[in-house]
Amino acid sequence: MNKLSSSLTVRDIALIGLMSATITAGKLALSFIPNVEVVTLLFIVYTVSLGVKKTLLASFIFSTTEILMYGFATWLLGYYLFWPLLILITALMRKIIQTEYGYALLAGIFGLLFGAFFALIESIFYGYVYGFSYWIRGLPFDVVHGISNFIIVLLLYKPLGNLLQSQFKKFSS
Amino acid sequence: MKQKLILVVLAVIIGGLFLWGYNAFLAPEGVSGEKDITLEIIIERENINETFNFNTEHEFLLELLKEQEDELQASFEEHELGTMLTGLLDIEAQDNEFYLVLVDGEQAERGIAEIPLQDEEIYTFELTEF
Repeated sequence: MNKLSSSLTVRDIALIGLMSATITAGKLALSFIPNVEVVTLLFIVYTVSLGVKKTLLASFIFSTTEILMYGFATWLLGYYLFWPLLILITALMRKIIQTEYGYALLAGIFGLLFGAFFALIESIFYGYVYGFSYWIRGLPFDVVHGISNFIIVLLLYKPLGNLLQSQFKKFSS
Repeated sequence: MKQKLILVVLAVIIGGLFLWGYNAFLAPEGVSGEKDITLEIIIERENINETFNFNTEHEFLLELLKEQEDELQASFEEHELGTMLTGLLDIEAQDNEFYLVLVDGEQAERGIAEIPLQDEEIYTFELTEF
C-alpha cells in the first residue's frame, strides 16, 4: 500500500467521492447559465472545512469526470491546474481571511482571471496570437464569471460552511 | 445582510460598466451597406467543394447563414456560449468533427456570430476532424 492510500481512511475515500460528485452535480445544475457556477464556492468551502488534501483529490476526480463526460480537449487540461491552484491559494489564505468577504473577493478574482489562465494554456498549443484573441473574446464571460463568483460566495459561503461543518461532525462521530 | 446587499448591487454595477466598456471599445464592429460575399464549403469525406456568391446587407456571418439556411442546407445548435454551425449541405458534423471557418484563407479567431462581413471576402467552411 502506498503512502497516500495508507493515510486515507474508508470514510475519507467515501467523503472524497461525495465531494467530487457534488461538484460535478453543482456544475451541471447551473450549466444552462453561461459562466455562473458553484464549483469555485464548493472548492473554497471544502478546502476551509475539510482540508487541502481531500479537496485536491476531489478536484482531480472532478477534472477526470469532465474529460469522461465531454471528451478530451485542451481546455480540460487546464482544469488539472486551475482548480488545484484555487485550492492551494485558499489554503494559504485561510489564516489571513477570516470572513466570507475575503473569500468572495478571492472567488471574484479567480473568475475574472479564468479566461486569461485558459488563454495561456491555449497559447501553448496554438500560439500567443490565438491565446490573446481567445482571452479578449471571452472577456464578457470572465466579467460575468467574476461578478457571479463574488456574489455566490458572499451570500452562500457562511451558510454552506456552517452546514458542512455540522454534517461533518455527525459523519466523523 | 444590508452590507452584503450593497456589495451585490455594487458588483452588478461594476460588471455592467465592464460589459459596456467591452461592447463600446473591444467588441467586433459590423460594416453597414451592400457587400458581395463568397462562401466556400469543403467537405473532403464527401468530395464536396462548392462555392456560393451572395449580395447582402447583413453585418455578421451568422446573420447571412441564417438567411440562406435553406439554400445552404445549414443546421445550427444553440449552446451556452452562442450559436454553433453543425451542418452544411445537409451534412452534419460528427462527434469528432467541426466546421472550421477561414476568412480569406486565415483561420477565424471568433465565432460565426462575431465575424463581421467585409465586401469581397471569402468565407470557407471546412469540415475538419478534432
